[in-house]
Amino acid sequence: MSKLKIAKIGYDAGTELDERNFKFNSKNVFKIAFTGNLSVSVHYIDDGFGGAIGEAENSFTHGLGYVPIGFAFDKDTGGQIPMFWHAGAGVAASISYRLDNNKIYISVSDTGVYGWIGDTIVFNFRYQIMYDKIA
Amino acid sequence: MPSLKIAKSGKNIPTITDNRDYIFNSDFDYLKESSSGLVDTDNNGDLTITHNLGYVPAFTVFVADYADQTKWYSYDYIGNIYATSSSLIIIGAMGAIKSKIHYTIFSEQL
Repeated sequence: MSKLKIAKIGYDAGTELDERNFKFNSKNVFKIAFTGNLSVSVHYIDDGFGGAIGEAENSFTHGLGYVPIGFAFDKDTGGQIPMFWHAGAGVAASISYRLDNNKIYISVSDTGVYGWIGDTIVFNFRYQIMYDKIA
Repeated sequence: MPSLKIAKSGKNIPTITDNRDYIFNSDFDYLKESSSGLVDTDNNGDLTITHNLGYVPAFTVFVADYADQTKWYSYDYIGNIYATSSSLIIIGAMGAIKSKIHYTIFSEQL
């Protein structure tokens, strides 16, 4: 079976052995199935230790029937998830994601100062789900 | 040098100005999968995957608890992960327990 191979300028696709010197060599490339926005609304409550805590999760249903490769990013900062930060004085946040055979879930766990109790903050994310399979 | 271009449905290649409107364009480089697999760590969540590319490649890794492989997590559930010119090294996955790992090693050099 013949294969489509496209070498970078200066290289011969018929004889080149170094994979880096191809633009495309018929090896798999990730194929995007879904991209979209997902927001997580976090409401802060009393953590019982003099501070505030907010935890929330949202999901997108991909419905592929298998666990796909997927990525998530913070839309406001452009940062790649997972993200962790610790600002000191009990202010810290953890953002992570997971995938199963039906959905991608993005989770936020944020701790802050007492004055945050009762506040709601919306975190905005962008996901990319591939057709390529994990399991 | 001639190019191979495939446009998304509804787009006309000669008039495309936004590169996102291509499905494929041989003028661009792509992340090419050099190897991938579904493998087990040891009981401490440790695993070394040999690639022998001779350079440090780009990679992605996902992980699941070996006892529950329905939920897959991004690399934050792995204690430490890095690539060398010969291997992809995973240390302490899922809090240092036996885990299932899905890895993709790309042809592209970091």
